[in-house]
Amino acid sequence: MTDRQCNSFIGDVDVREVLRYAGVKNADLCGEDIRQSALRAIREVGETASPRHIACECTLLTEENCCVIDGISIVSRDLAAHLQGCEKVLLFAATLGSSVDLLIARYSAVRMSYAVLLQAAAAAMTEQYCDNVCQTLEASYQKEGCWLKPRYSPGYGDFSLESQTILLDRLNAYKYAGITVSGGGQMTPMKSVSAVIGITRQRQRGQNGSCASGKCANCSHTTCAFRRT
Amino acid sequence: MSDRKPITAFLGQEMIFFDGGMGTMLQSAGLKAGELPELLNLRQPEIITDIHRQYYDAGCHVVTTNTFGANRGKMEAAGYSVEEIVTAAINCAVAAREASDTPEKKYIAMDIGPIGRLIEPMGDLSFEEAYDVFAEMAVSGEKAGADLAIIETMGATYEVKAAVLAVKENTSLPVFVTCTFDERGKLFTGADVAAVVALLEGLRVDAMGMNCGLGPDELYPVIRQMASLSSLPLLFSPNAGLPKQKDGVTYYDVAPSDYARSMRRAASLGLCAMGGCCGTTPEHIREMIARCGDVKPALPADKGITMISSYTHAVTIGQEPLIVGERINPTGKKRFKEALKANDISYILGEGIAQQDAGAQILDVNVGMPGIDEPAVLEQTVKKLQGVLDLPLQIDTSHPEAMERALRAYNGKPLINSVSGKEESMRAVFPLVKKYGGTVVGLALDDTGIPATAEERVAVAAKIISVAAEYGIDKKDIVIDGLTLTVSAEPEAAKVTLETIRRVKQELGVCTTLGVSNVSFGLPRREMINAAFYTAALTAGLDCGIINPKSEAMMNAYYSYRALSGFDEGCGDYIARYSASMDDATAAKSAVSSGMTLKAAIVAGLGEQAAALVREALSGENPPAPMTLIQEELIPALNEVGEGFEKGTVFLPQLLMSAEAAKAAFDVLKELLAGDGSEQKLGRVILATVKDDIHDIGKNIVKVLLENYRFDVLDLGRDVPPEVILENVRKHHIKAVGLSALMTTTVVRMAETIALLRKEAPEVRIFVGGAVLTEEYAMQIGADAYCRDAMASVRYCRKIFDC
Repeated sequence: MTDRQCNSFIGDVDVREVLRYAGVKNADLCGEDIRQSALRAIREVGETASPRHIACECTLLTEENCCVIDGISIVSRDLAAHLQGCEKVLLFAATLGSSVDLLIARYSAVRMSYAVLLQAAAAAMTEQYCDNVCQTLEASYQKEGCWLKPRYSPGYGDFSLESQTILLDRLNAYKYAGITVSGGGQMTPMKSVSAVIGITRQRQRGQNGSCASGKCANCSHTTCAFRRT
Repeated sequence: MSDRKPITAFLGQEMIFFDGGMGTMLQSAGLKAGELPELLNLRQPEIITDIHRQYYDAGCHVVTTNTFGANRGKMEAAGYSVEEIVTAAINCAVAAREASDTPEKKYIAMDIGPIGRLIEPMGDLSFEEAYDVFAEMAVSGEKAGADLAIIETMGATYEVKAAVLAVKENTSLPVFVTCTFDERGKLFTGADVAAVVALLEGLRVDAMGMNCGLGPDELYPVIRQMASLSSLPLLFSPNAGLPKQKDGVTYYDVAPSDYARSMRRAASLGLCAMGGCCGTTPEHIREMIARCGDVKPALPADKGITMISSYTHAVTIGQEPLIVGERINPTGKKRFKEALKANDISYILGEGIAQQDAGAQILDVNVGMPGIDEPAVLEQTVKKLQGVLDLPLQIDTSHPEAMERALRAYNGKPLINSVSGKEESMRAVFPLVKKYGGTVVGLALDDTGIPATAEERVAVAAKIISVAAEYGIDKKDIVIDGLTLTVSAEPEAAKVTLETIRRVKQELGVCTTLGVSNVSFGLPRREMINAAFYTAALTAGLDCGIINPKSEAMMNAYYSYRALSGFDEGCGDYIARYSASMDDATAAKSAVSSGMTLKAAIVAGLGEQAAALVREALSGENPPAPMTLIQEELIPALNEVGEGFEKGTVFLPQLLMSAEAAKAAFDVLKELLAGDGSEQKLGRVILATVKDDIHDIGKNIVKVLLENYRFDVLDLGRDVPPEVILENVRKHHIKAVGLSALMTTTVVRMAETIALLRKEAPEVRIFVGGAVLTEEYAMQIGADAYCRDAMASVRYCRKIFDC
């Protein structure tokens, strides 16, 4: 489903986060020109993006090393552990659309310094968009006394990247959001996310108990350059 | 053969009613999530036949077969051939038709849906592969007895083009095409309504329209816009409202009576056919027919709009003057010729993007020069250009095969440059225009040569228009080139050209174009004459000026003319352009006067300034040797920034800005060195993102840095099979290969690539990088070096090339 409020989340994207994604480890030490370019990149990605998402509530059964979502088995011990205590899940996919990929390709051909900022802005914006959508979804679940767990995507832990296709097929993600999988199993448009979100009656830790917070805390990639400490 | 009239005979005669949703009906018949609906054609044909029967009973003229996803990929994975599934599907529809009351008035549309993968460059599916997939579906459909093909729910123009060509070239079925728009009036891939209309009119489909996505009310403004642009009949099949969800099931809740009321409103826009998509049922269709059955359809009037398009937008010719960038053309350009010979596509892409940034609205693309394979190079250039910019292209060649290949590969409706009044030219070009779509430039010359008078040129133009009409090409798709000759050789030349433009506009009522810069050959200060002639031509009625948009004088003429002729409301564009405080050129000049060193400019990442400083240094009394500048200023600057990057005091964007500033300086030197052989590269390196991986940003960063250090980089792109890398290693005697992979899944491909190279080209050195790689893993898969960032790649290459 298209985000009808046209790219209203652009203002929520943090320029320091964008700089961090672009390899600027300390935003205070980079020049004002770079900061301005990053702001321009956020604006330009925001103007170019056609964000879309799709979410679908499914039944869940968890076993020790496997989850059965709407009757489809996904073998993953980590996903099963993550979904402990959940009765149902939301399957979720979101994208900024293929125009953003072309924007990055355009600058990669002539001005790589700006292409890396666009790439970073697009990555930050994808996260921000997903966070905003999930907050809205969570608000409606809270009325029924439920909370959402953080998004858990194929590629995390032992939740295989190949599972991505199962999620996207179940969501009919091409039809509703234009998200496809390439022959090599990668999502196109490239700035796309697929995830499983647990629905639980237990309040989540983090700010407001929201699904969008505390993203890095549970990840096993402790040496990741982008890990938030 | 039946005596059924072709469905196209009804267009504009009576409203053609299509069926409603198939998926919705299958869901209620018990289809489970994840099951392939197409398999029911074989497994439970009675269910499918019954659904078709219900739609025929509701009053539909056309039912759509249950073949939406019956493509090779999905069917073969399920263990079936496309032909057996499609045949079974059509048999279901035939059975329903035979059971209906008036089978002779009932039609079967072979349904063709999207493949579900994006075509290059947005995805990894090739255009040709997509074409083959659709051809197989269409051929099976025709063979089994379909009356027409409906290509529907399309979200990408390139996929639409592959599908339409596949149906038209392999069957004689009428073709109806509907795309899926969002509430912004855009396809998934960003195309707007006008771009879709231009493409489909060019491809000469039988009817076009929209389906799915939204309900009739949400889509009303979008179909209204399509009706205002299209000269072809329209088909409208929306959903029963916006999708909603309950208990994991998607549903639609616009009731049949409301749907019918909304469709009645849409029908008055001038639809020729209507139906329904997701959520619509026989009841929706029955009510729709009851309410709209009396609407008399009319074929849309020819809108007479001269329109070309890219994959995102259309450009209308004839409303206000347009700039066609002339710079992608080797004629008289040493540097461009070198780039073509060396297959240096990035130089050509850079020229394209620079022209777009300078204000071009259309780009001319000409790669014709002796010694190159023009058909292959032109096709490749068109594909690459549409991967980085969204301007409509003007395909410029006199080589029919090159023209056909470029037209086929083009994602949109292009300008085609050109046809002339020569019989042979018209015979070669018009069939291509007819088949692929396009607006064609007609040169006002014929077998007797270039007429000396405007009178005769107008007569040739009239002949071109009338012969085009014989091929079914309307005059709105002809743009006449009045022919610019060199004024220094022919004193009356400019006058005759201007007169031709004026008269072609007035007497023939078609749009006009000129290669403006030809006028000044052989004269000093060419820009002055060009700009004056350009202004005169605009005044005479020139629609498309083929000019250099990077020329300040030409753009001054353009902006001034627009301001003076009422095209620039409140002179807004003029003011925005000329009241800016300090432009780049001024900044560059001030760098020179401020005494900034070249090294400092590069360290600070100031490209314009670095280029200006090189020009300044070389224009002095005792200019330094270019190599001295490189050794004493450029390389030390790069080293300083590179060391800072490795220490963590300089960050990636700054490193790249310095690299670009250095490149700007090198480019100035390169122009001076072009051809004198003193420009030496350090060694040739292949870079590639491995097979199945479409993420190339890391590889591109490495490329920029290696080129900066004067390595000759052969960039093979992304998703590159191991064999292609090996082939290039052999062909170019490569000593070093850099491989990139982003995902854990594609690191496996990296390992395979290394294994192949080790076996077949053991002498080659391999360095690797990518987000999920580590030193340990790189060694494990047999790489010679793990490079954690771009500078590490530079250091490794300098080591192995000993420089």
